[in-house]
Amino acid sequence: MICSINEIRAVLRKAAMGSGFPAGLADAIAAAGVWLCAHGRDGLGAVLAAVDGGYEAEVAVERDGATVTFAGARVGRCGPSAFELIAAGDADEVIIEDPDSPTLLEGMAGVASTRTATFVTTPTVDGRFTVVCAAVGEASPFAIRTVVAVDEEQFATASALAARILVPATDESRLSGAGAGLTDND
Amino acid sequence: MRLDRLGSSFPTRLSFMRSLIRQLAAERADVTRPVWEIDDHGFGRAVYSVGLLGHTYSLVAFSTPLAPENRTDRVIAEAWDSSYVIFDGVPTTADLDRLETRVPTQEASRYEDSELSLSRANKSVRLFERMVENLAAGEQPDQQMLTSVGYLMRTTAVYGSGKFGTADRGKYAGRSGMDAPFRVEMLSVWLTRGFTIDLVNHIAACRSPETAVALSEHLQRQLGIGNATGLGMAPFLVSHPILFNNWITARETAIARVVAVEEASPESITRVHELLARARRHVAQWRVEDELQTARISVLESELADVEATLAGWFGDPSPWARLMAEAATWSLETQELIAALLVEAHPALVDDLTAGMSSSTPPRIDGAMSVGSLQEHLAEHFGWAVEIDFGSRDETAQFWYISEEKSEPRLGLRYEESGADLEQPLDVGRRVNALAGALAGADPQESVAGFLLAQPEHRFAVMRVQTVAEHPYSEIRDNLISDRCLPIDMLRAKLAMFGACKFDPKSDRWTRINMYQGAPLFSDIANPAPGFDADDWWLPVLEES
Repeated sequence: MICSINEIRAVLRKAAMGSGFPAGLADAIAAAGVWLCAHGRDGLGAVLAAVDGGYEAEVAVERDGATVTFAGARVGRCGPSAFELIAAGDADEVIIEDPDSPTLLEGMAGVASTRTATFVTTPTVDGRFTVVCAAVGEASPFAIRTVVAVDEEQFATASALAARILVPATDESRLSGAGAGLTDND
Repeated sequence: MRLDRLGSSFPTRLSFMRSLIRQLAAERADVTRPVWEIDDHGFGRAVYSVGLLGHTYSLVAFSTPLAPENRTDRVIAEAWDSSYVIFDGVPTTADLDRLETRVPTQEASRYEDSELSLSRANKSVRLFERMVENLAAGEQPDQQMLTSVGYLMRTTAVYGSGKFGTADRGKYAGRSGMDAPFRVEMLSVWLTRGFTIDLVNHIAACRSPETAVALSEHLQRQLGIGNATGLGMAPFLVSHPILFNNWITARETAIARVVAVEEASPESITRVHELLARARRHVAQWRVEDELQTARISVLESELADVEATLAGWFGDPSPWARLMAEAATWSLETQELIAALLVEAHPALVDDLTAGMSSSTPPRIDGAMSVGSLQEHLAEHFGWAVEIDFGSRDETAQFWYISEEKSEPRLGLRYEESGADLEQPLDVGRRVNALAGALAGADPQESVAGFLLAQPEHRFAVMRVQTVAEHPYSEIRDNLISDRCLPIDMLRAKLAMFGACKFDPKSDRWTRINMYQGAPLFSDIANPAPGFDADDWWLPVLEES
């Protein structure tokens, strides 16, 4: 199935919101998914892996000097923070234990890298992922593909999650919600 | 920008239709019609192609029968009188055959990245058939009837930017001449206007070959394309804060440049006189059924007479435009905004370059390194209006924005009377920033925004809005969009004026009709302009007897 980048962004954002993620995190999740798709990666699968279990606000955070560790981490919840903590100088590295969507973490690294620095996510043998800022300087430009092939089943799953934010129609909402009549033969 | 000022907007020479026509005129763009497969009843398909700076773009039009009971301007419609795509290049017969099975179904089909936009239009029943009858009988249509409607068809949606598989804006935005916002969509509407005129002439000629005449060019120019716009446009202004900022920045910069003129040239004084006279005639022809808008137009008419009288005495004084803008503060918002648009119109050399800065492809981003203290300062500076609102009040939270399961139609609900508020869309920016202010009050000012958001990710959206407005001061509508006073029509008018639309005709507080390209050049005016023809002189068109 061929989709536009904008279409993918919209459905991923809504899918994240439909899974219970707050709007700001949904934006970050969708941006990472789009970055992956634009680079020929499985952005839909990465987002679905991150939002499938729904949203949990709680996250276990441990600090050890300049290292921050997220335990049992949900990438959709703590991923954006990993990059922002490093960018802010609050941490030199962030360790994410047992991430639910390592690929989405890479997408978030791509998005974060486009602004101020190049971020790298590195898997370790014990299932951890380490996020560090590898270099500060010019980042590679955002790749734009105007045609992206996506898995039809994944797109349908994302669309189903996105549909959770739609409000069921009623006769009343049909008549009053949009402020217009039902025929226009004038 | 406040809602009520946005809701008094008028088109300016920075508007997207105007800048497109200037571009086409500069290139003397030639519109051709390589395909016209329309039957005697006006049904079939047609293609219009136009070259612009090395690329060819084609409007592919399909005209189909439509039962009256199915004719609705709503998003929930499933059939239309006509449907269109802008095709990247010139379509082959195979392309046309593919599109013919899909385009008339609109959102129900998938498209390819050779399609840059998707749209549809319905006939103005009262004007279309009458005009066919007149022309078939060898008569030009009645000017009064034409004036009362102003268009043969009205578009009910023009989709771009990758909707339903069409091309992302990124595919063509880097092309010369295509970087302006909504450039493809504006081109689609202008070409559609030409199609509607050809269609009415064709049907009349088929109906009575011996007696039919073509619609006079004079009357053709007085026809625009209608548009019915609902709530779908409103969320766009909120969800594209940097783009919105760039539009308003261009407008405000234009006004500032004009106001800074210390000595008005005789040419500009003459031009302002001409435009003021035109504006008064335009407003005199602007008639709507909506009582509120009718009252506003009445005040505008009266105040424009005052403007003319006021100006007569001091055109030659220093800084007359600054003085006029200062005087305007005593008039209604409609008058203030019309005067601002008029002054911008009169100074093309000062302002036209500003259209180059009205695009944006940059998404807002979180600056995690910012301190909570700095964030608080930005919030206090730009969102003081939101902090002062009591969001515990039912009046301030009376409405909620949502997306209906019916074709994803955007709708507005009453929070305390209807269900669905748990699925509210985040257009409640003021309320969210108000909540952020409360959360920040208990935070360490030295803490980073990154640390704050790790602990309280639910405020991420609001933090982004505050950080964005700190760099883009016109990115927010500074009003509560969920209060019982919020009139979505204000947001619709602001965006439509930015497109270049006029003759706003509100049908409710969340639905309006407008006219696009009324008075604009025809295809032939662009490719082969008559001596002295000015393709850029159609601000606030006046319908005149031939």
